[in-house]
Amino acid sequence: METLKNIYIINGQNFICNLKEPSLEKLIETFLNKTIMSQSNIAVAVNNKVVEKRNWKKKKIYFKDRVEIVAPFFGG
Amino acid sequence: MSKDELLIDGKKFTSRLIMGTSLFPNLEVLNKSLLSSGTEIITLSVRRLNLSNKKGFLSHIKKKYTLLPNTAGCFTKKEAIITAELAREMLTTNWIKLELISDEEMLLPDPIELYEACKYLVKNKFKIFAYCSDDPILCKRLEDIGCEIVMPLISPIGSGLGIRNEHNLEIIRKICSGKVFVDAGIGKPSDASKIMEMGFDGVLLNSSVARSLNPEDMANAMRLAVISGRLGYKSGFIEKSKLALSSTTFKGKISNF
Repeated sequence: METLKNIYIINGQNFICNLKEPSLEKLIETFLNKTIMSQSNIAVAVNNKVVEKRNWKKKKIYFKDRVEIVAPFFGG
Repeated sequence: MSKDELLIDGKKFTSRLIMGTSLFPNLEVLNKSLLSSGTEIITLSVRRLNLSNKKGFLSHIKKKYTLLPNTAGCFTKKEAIITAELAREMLTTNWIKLELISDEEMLLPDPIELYEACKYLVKNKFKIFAYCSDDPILCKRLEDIGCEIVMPLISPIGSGLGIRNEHNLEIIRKICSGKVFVDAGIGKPSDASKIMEMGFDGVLLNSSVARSLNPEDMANAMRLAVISGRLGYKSGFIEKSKLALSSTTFKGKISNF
């Protein structure tokens, strides 16, 4: 099966990768270390729409999709 | 002392002090200060994941607190809504401290964007802690549309200027029947105490502790100030009089030399 080389925008930066299955879950796995994924309370939005964790697998992603991956941080 | 629990969204709390987690010199001081403050609720922000921080913010916090995410840094309704939705997904909480600022210099809340964002988020089952200006009508309107807690500032964020418009605060307390906290502007423990004496339900603060010379002790001072002010308010103050009212009777004194 031919792999797809694509550009995504993750947290404001271009991210180029080859994905066999262009799902959000695969993209996040590629972008992050799996340890981080399991330990952090992270949330994800694609093109300004939050995608619930249970839907990451079925969420297809496309060329130049804008992905935001957020986590808790210090705040007042 | 009778029980004076604070009920928020069906959850009981004994502390009326919500603490921010920003600007502390280091994590050890942050943890000690949170402990010293007696707080049960802490605020945090929603930020892009930092890949160099492998453990994540929450793993650095030693005690289990109820988490109140904020929308700090948002300028528009759209930005605030997506941030609130991300926070809900990130922490599995529908609590959000809604901050919508209008400028970078004074960080003053934008009442129009805030009101619109609140309307949308209330409809979407969020429990909103609305950080707002000290405008009594705005506070009342935010309460009326279903915000869980209305949180007027007393002066700009991080200014430490304390109460600038006591009269407005008195009106807010009078016309808002729900829970009202004060958020932003507290500089000294006496500010926190005064707020509580005025009958407000609690205080949210950060800079006044984090930027002090001794955050752990200042956190304790704030804890005591909030308790003291609340206890005073609940005990009922005496009526003010323009004339002196002697506390010791004149009857039986030796006189008249």
